[in-house]
Amino acid sequence: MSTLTHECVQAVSAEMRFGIMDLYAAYSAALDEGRYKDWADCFTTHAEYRLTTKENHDRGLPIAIIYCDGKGMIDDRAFTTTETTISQPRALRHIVSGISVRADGDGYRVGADFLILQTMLDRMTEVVMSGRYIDRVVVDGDRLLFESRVCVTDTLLYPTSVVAPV
Amino acid sequence: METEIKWATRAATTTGASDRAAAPDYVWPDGGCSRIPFWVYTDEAIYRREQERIFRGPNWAYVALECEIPNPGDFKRSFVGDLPIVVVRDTDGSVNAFSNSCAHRGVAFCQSEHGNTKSFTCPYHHWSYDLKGNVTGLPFRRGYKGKGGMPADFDLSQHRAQPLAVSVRNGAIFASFDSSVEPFEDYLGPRMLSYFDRVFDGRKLELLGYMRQRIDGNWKFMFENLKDPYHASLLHVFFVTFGLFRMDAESAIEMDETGRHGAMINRRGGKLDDVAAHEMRQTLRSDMQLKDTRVLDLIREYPGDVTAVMCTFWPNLIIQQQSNTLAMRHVVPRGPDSHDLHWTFFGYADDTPEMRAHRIRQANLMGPAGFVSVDDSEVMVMSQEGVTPYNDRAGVAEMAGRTVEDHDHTITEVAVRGLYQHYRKVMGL
Repeated sequence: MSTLTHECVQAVSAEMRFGIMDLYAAYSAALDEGRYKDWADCFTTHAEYRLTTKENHDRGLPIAIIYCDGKGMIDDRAFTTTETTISQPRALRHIVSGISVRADGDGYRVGADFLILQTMLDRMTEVVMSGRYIDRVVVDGDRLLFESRVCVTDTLLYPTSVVAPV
Repeated sequence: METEIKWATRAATTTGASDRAAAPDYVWPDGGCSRIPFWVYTDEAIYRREQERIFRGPNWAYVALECEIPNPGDFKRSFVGDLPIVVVRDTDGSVNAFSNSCAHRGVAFCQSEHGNTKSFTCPYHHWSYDLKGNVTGLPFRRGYKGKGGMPADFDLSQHRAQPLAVSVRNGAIFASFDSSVEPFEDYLGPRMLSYFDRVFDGRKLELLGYMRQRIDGNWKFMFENLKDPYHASLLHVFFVTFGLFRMDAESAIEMDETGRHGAMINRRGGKLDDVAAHEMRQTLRSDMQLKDTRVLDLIREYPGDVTAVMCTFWPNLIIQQQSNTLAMRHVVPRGPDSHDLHWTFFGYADDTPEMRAHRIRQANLMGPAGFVSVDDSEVMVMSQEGVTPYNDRAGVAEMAGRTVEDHDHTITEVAVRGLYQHYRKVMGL
């Protein structure tokens, strides 16, 4: 007998799943290629974006390493990343896997694991952080966008700096 | 100009035998505290001497906030220098601190970051501890069926996790391995104490959360950074462009009598004059605007017109008050070329929901991804990259003179000199 519980859930179409996967791919590509404006355009007008640690998240501590409350702050984060931040040159690479999708009213609860690798001039490629995206994705006009993305990192001690959104 | 470092083997007259064994003699370059030999950032023996004399010495090191351990039995792991300790709230409400190293075989027995407990038990041989760090029992002390067990003269009371002296003031907890340390209030001195009390005014605090980062640069770079306002108007595009910190604003650098503690006191920039604008021309980006300026909002909450006070309290604490973002930055050295920075963000328990939300939003300025503080952590790595291979050289800290006194402006490295004036004395260098 199967030990899996078969919940009665609202079915998510293959088309929608592929659409969400495309959003994830576009998001990672925008960050890895340093196109932060394109990153910001993955969010709705009233979106929330947070980067926090598992420790803060599990304990309900509200501080976030990056906290954006609305698209304006997300745009500002994109802008400051390239225009005001002084940092050592590096390449960042997002590895995202295990996307799970669940219908939730007019949107979708989506989750995925992420790993970010960093390559710098005089250092070997190293892991910056691992964690999980906890997202809500909605249809906005003819696009799928993040209404909420909370990046919860297993990593508690970040190597040097977090120079870009996650 | 380069300064030649004299590497001399000097007859050791002032240093003890253990120091001689631990470190060769180093000779500070001419120029006193306005010259900083790069070996203070790179040398293993210097690092060990720092741990011995500074972090195990008679200084009050920051270890925790009271709001992290509000109830009896609450504990958290912490560090003094690179030494792991446990900070715990006792049943009578007092705060204890002891080494996180078992009296038996040295195991770091407390492995939880925080929690609540009636006692601690080492996982290795189950030696148990009370909330004061006393060993309260150990299995098979009397042996089993007449075999084994501790010697008859084994005295349990002689074994405990090494205790630290503890001082609590208005919600912040400090500890010292050396119980001869002067009272906390005398240690800070009246002026630095007034800056401490400005933020820790007796109101109950609320813990907002943590950020931590490992920066591959010597721990003193972090301390110097907050004692060096000269860089702030040049490195930090965000600060200068959005007026949070500018060299033309009314400001001051103050120290205690020893130079070991400092306060960087700032007001926001007003109308910018042409001379200041010219000097900061590479940093000032007048074309830039934020779409959502709430992150810059300043809600007046302290007396006077000062908008930021960054305190550097020897040997391991930076108190951050920039506008409405408040944090303890706890420096944990990790060898000569690396340190961890533990940020504990907090507010006041009586904050309005609006103020609480504002503090959380304004935290974007700070931390490992902060609009401002990323620049600093990145530069510290660049510093280490430059000083390690050139550790026969010395740095120059001559902005606004070569001596140590308070200044009523920020175009100065005077507090860096103050730091090294004290450092040399403590380190015997």
